[in-house]
Amino acid sequence: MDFHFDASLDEFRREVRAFVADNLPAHIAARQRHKSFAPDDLHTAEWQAILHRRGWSVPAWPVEHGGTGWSPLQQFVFSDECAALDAPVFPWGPRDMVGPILYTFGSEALKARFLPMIREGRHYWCQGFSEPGSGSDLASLRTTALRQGDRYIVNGQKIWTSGAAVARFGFFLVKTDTRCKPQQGISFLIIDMNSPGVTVRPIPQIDGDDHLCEVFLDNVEVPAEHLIGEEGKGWTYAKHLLDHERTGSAYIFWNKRELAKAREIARGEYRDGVAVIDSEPFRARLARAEARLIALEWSVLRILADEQSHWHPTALASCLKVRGAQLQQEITALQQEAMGVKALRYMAPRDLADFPVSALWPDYLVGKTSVALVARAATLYGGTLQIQRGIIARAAFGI
Amino acid sequence: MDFNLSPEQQLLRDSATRFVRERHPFETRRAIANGATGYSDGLWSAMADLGWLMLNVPEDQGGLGAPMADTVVLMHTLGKGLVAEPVINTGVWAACLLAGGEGGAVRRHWLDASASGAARLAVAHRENGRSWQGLPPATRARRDGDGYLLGGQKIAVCDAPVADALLITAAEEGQPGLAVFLVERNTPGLVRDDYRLVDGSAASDLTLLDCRVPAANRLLAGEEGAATFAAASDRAHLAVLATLAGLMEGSLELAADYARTRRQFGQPIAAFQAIQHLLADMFVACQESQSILFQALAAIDSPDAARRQRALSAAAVVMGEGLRFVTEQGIQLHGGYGVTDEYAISHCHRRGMVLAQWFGDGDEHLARFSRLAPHGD
Repeated sequence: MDFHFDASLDEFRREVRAFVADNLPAHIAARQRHKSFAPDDLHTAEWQAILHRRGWSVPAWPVEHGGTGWSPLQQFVFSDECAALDAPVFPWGPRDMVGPILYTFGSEALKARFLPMIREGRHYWCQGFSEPGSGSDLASLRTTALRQGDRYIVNGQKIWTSGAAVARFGFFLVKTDTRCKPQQGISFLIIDMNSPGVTVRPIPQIDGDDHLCEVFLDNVEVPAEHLIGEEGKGWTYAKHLLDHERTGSAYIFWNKRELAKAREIARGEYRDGVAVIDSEPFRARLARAEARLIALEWSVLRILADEQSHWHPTALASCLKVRGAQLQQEITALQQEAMGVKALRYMAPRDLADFPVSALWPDYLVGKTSVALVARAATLYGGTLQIQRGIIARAAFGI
Repeated sequence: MDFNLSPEQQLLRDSATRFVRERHPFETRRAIANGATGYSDGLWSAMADLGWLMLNVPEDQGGLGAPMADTVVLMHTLGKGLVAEPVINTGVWAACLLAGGEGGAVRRHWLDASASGAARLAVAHRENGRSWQGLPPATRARRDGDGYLLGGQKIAVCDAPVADALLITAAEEGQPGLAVFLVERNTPGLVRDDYRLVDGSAASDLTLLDCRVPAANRLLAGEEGAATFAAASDRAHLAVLATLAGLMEGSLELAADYARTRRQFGQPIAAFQAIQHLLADMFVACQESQSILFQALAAIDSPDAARRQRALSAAAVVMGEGLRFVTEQGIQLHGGYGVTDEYAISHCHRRGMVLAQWFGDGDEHLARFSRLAPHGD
């Protein structure tokens, strides 16, 4: 056992910090501060292009595809610094899902066409997995893609498709074979969102935003070469991804940044002349969240450092998802608590950049309620809390 | 960064696992806990023979000078096996106090005796109405000729009834910091009120009535003494936390095994989602505790007491909560059997209660963690 970050990692951290501080445009950082969840396509793309020029836009990818060759701990430090300085969170779909599936299973033609585009952040991507009748039970999905000559004809409906209204491309789970067992006929397909027959309907959300969408696919023609890998392997590819990216669901960088924001709010807000941060009940709750956050960070480090465990890796990964999601809710609740009655003001997500900041309504309050409301979804997306518990019971105890 | 056991640590764990399996199966544990003293001389000397009491004795003082990680590995396994011998009191806490102390011959004698298992030692610090790390002790030490007179009272001193000598904290008259005195078991003026704790181990309230000890028995004194006491106590606290992590893992395994075998409504109760989700949450709590234990271990060698203690308190907060959840729900999953002495889960719960109080309760550590925040709040 040895728990020291080696000295070169400290140096690396300083290098990343200096780069981000010098190159992250102030208006992008401000956007990120106000509205941490929904990725704003333009600002995220602008930041990704900046990172791309430095060669840092897709750190985890293999070097031949533009990756950095960094160790897992270097990647951890990189993300940690980016988040701490309010760099936008990358849309993980293209970088962490489409990219890895493409370079692992995709054809040369697909790789040549799409990998550079993702690397440079040229387009926003959406992810079409869930359907109205297929939420937690993803294997029951019904959207079909039937082969006709050199095309697939796609019919069906997707839901909770974040950013579909601004996305240029989507990666969809579709049934290419409707006769076999549910999980076997599923394939990954890239769909140009400008194709005829694609209709996107934004869903008004709990926070007034409408980032989540419904996507209707009505006889959409998709070139057959947009199939990633082989037909019927979608489920296998998705599992492959989960095995290779086990720590993202902890939202560790997000949680660290937002806990720091909770502290900032609590220092700035007062009740009866006493800063919220000096109220004993609040301090205790803040401390408890922070201790749990430290535990979560060390859980992430254990996986990154490849600790050998007799427990099934899937069970360990789901632990991160469970605690990471619970902490998002706990931390945003602390922010709301510190804001008190000010947390009740509705701030339209689309207008946050123009919010009239004042002494009464400081910058640190802007957009926080929206984030707290959307954080209710943290225990829903990517497999609900209840699904995660089922996964753990199965993986850890074989039941 | 490396979380894996070294080959030596692997051996240590294997040997401790074998020890628990062969020498300390649950029925043995139960017999000892319900026996006359709560302890076993045979087990104690067997553990001494394995060298486990020398881990924290420096090499130049005849010990193994092992890294603290070794103690964590050992205590994790002994915790899981519900071993209640005074390994932490003697082999960690007292060993670190003696190794860092003054008083040539006395210190030397007792360090050798504890490392070889010839003596059991217990550290007496807690006092009635005082938190673990609150005010300086009300117990007083006054210089008197060629010795010291000790007066005061200590409460719930773990393992004291079987200790050959006690290491007692006191405020020394006219001196800053903290003093620690070694008081042998039968010293006149030392009155013990012995009783059993809920887990079957034993403790004493000590009353010191002008208890006279030779000057050489003052092991630590002054500000330096306070710092040494803090460092030794932090190591013992970490050993307790490692024990808790093992205890939690053991409770989880007991609960999962029981759920798989207990049948109701024609099927194992593990088939019910309500049970599966409870087990999953227990699993999450165990993993989280193991993670924050590593974090505390990573800070234990820091010369900065605030950093060490912040890390320990963070661990105590998360693990205290996790322990209660895992052992209480472990009982719940056992149904009525969970509240019987016959089932190991009730021993896990009771042992956990004792250990989680020893170095301060959850609220105390939440407050200390918050107070030692590096954010300047």
